[in-house]
Amino acid sequence: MRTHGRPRALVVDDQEMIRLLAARVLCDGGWSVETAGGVAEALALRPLGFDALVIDTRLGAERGTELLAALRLDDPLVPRRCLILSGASTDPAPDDVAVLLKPFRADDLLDAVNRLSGRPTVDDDPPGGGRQRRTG
Amino acid sequence: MTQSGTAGDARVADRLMFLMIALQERANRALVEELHDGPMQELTGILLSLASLRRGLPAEAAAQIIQIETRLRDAAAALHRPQPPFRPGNGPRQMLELGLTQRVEGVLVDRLYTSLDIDVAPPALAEVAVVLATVQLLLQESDPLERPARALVAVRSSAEHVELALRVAYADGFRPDAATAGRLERLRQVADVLGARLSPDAVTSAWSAAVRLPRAPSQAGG
Repeated sequence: MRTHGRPRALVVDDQEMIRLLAARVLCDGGWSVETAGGVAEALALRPLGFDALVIDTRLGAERGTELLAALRLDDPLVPRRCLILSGASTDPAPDDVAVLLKPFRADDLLDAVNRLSGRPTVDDDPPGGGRQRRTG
Repeated sequence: MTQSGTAGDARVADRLMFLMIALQERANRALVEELHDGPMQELTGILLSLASLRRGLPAEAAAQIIQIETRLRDAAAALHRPQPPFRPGNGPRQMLELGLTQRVEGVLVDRLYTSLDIDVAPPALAEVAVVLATVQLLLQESDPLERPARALVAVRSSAEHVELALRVAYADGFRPDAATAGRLERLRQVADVLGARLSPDAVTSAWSAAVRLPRAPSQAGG
């Protein structure tokens, strides 16, 4: 899965600004990153081949949880590699997926993604503004 | 449900109260979506941009930017809305407790005390909505601007009825006055529509209201 020794992350967000900024943060943090603006675009990139999947809950008319549900059919353990970005604590998300609440700092994002792959984090404490869950 | 009206009036009142609660849920969802699609996206973009900018700065300046990022993130986190009461998966007790906490305490009354005896024959969603709406409407009508100091909401459900008792007390005086009389007159009119029995305290400005909702056999436990 790795590219030139770097783990691979896929960022799925319909907002181009967030998608590109998040990709830059992860690239600077040692990840090889690809991006997608929606469910179909993400599926075309063969997402199960990535070490980490960063998925926004709201992808325009689509939901990030739909993408997760589709991936889960092929790989029941895929939630362990997923980070859901959510703008609201009221957004529904499966219990076995890590969630990061917006707005988040760059370090919060990098820490959360590093945790998915067991990489060292900037700060071992969970970010104060984010909600971290990992039960799966 | 109304004391002076017909069963048809009662059903209309119940339906209107249900719609009022549904409207509150819808408004809450719209607000959440607006927050997500607007300020939360924008703030996330700002935070990520700040991180990008600080990489070129000397260590001391970068540390200050990190502090700003953290303060901004934490301040924005306070904008997150709590879980809505009528979220799928919530039981009747959770719906009622969340509804009273989010939409009554601090909004319509300073301190709210509750006694919920509803677990044996739990109220249905529509009954929870009617109870919550009754409390909201009576408190709103009691004073459109100021909040009473204390209120006690007691709800008891059985196979036959869902009963609500509401007692409200004010901090601003112990004796009824002209304002109290006006309040009680307004409350009587609303109480009639809602089917509530209003009982003013003869000695203080406090008042109580009681409602008994008859249940169809199939509703109990739903």
